[in-house]
Amino acid sequence: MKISFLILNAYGMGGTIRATLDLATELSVRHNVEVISVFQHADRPFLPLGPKVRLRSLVDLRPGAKVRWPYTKRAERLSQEPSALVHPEERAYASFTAWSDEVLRRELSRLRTDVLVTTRAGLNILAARFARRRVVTIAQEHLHFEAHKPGIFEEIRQWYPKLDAVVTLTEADEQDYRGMLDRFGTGVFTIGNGLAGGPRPVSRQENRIVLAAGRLVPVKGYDRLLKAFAQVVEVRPDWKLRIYGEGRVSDKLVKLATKLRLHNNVMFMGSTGDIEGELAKASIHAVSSRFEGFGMTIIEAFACGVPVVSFDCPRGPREIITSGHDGLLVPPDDVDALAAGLLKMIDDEDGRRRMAANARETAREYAISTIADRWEDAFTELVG
Amino acid sequence: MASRETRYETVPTGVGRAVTSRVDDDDTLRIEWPEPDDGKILLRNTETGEEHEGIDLSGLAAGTWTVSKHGAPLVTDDPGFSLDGLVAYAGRARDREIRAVRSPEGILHVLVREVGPYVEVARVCPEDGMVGVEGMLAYGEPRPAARSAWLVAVARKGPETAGGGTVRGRRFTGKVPIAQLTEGQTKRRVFWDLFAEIDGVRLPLAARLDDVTEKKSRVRFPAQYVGQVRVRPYFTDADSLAVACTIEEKTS
Repeated sequence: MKISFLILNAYGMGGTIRATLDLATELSVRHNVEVISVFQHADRPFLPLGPKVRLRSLVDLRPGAKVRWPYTKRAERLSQEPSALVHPEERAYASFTAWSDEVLRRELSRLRTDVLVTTRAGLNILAARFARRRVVTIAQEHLHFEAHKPGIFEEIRQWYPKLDAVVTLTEADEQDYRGMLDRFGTGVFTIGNGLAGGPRPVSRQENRIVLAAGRLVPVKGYDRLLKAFAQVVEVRPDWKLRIYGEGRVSDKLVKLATKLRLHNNVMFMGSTGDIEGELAKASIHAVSSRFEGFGMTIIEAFACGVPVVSFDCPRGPREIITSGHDGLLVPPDDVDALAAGLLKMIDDEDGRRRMAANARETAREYAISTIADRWEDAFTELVG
Repeated sequence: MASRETRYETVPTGVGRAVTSRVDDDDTLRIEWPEPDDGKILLRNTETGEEHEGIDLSGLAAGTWTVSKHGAPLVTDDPGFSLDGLVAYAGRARDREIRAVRSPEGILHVLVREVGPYVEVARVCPEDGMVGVEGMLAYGEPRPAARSAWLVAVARKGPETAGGGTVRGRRFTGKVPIAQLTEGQTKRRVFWDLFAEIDGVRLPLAARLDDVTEKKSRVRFPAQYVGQVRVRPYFTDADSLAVACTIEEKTS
C-alpha cells in the first residue's frame, strides 16, 4: 500500500512532527511510505526518520533556494501574498502564502497514492477539497474540537464530511467529531500517538530534578508552573526545575523566574534532540498546560520511568494518567494544587518509585507497533 | 523489532543492554547487566583511535572514549548522570575526571577531562547589597576544621577586591559587597571574575557537575543596583561565575 503523509514542516521539532515521523518509520516496514513536508527550512529533519521513508518538500525556504523555471518569478511574487486557500484562523496561517496555495493545490490534484494522511486543520480541509477521488483521505486532528475558532470551524463543518475518516488523539474528541460526521459516513477513530521502539534510558529516581518540556507559549502554562515551583523550593530548596523548549514567551518567563527568585532552582534549557535522555536524568515530569491535545511527553516520560504531575486539563492527560498509579492529576489552573502535587511526589519517595515502575507499564500501551497496527486496521477498513 | 533498526541505525540489536554504567570512586567502570555476561570491555578514543582494555580506567588519557563489548558498541539504559554521585566523586583531590555518559543514540561513552581544584557553585545569592556564593570544594583536599577564606573578585584588566568567607570540610561560603565592585566605575561595563581564596590559593568558582553547559544563556540572576550601576552575576562561556557591572543609560 502506498501511504502519503502531508505535514506542515517535517524539518522542525514538536509533538506532531515526531509522532508523524515515527509512525511513517514504523509503517515503512510493510508499506511504501512518503512524507510530504509543505515547507523545508533545513537540509535534514531534526528528528529521526527511518531510511525507507521518502521525504520531500513542496516549498523550499532555505536561504538561496530557487524555484525552477518557468515558475521562478511567479513564486517570488506569490510568496509575498497571503494565502487565500487557508483560513486566517488556522493557527499556522502565517506560514502559508499564495505560492504555497498554488503548490499544494497542484500537488493534491496530482498525487497518486492509496492513503493520504493530513496532519492539521488547514491541510485536512485542502485534502477534502483537492485530493483525487480515488485517494483515501484521512485527517488527523491534533487539536481539541472546541479549540478551533468559529471561522475555520465553519470550514471544518463544510469540508470534513468529504473526507474518508478523521483520526483523533483522544476519545473525548472522537465523541465530538462523531456528533458532527456520523450522518455523512466519514469514519472517526481514536488513535493516540505512538512511542518508537529502541533502547531507552530509564530514570534511577536519584536526581532532585523536575522536568517540563514543550514550546514556551501561553497554552503550556509555564507561568503557573514557575509560581508553583516557587512554593516547592520554599520547602525543598535543593530541588531544581529544568524547562526544555523555545518560544515567544521565553523572555517573559525568564523575567518571571527572576522575579520569583528562582535563579538557583530553574533553568531554561532550550531545545534538545534527546528529550528522553534528559527525562531520564529527572525524577518527575510536570505538565502545567491549560490545554493538552494529547501529551506525547507524558508517554515519553512514562517510558523513561518518570511519573507525571499534571493539571487535569482537557484532554490528553486524564486519558493517559491514572492518578495515584503512574502520576498525579491536580485540579486545572490551581497553582497551589500543582505545588502540593509536586511536593507530594517529591516527599513520597517509595510512592514515586512505585509510580515510576507503573508508568513504564502504561507506556507499553502506546508502543508504535501497537499504534501502527491500529492505523493499518483503519486503512484496511477504508481502502476496502 | 524493525522500528528499532530504523530508528537507531547505529545501535545493533541482540547485544545485551547494560542497566547500570557508572564510574566508581576508584575510577573503575562498573557495568551491571540484566544477566551475567563475561565479554571483554574495550574502550576506543574517538580522536586518536587508542584502545584500552578492561574496566580499570585510572590513567586514561583525556578525551571521549566509546565503549564496546563483543565487538559492538555497548548500549545502556543508564542516563549516566547522578548529581550526588558526581559531587561525591569530586570529593577528593584528582587530576582527571572520568565520567560514564549515555550518548543520544543510547551508547555508553566515557569522558575523561583533566581537572584541578575549584569550587563547584551550588547557590548564588545576589541580595542585601552583596553577592553571596555557596559551593563545594571539588577535586581538592577538604579542610576538616572550619577556617576563614575569601571571596575574591578580579576585574578584567583591572583591580581586585574581596569579601569574607569560610570553608569547612568541603563547604565554602563567601560574600562580597557590591559597593566594592562599583566604586569609582567609569567604564560603561566592568566584568569581575570570582574566586574562592583558601589558604592563600585562588580557586575558580564554577558550576560544572550538573551536566548543563551554556549556563550563560540558561540561568539568569537578579540584578541589584548601586546608584546607576546595575550589578548582575552571570555564568561565563566556561560556566565560571562572574559579575557584570553596567552603568545604565539615563532614561528621561
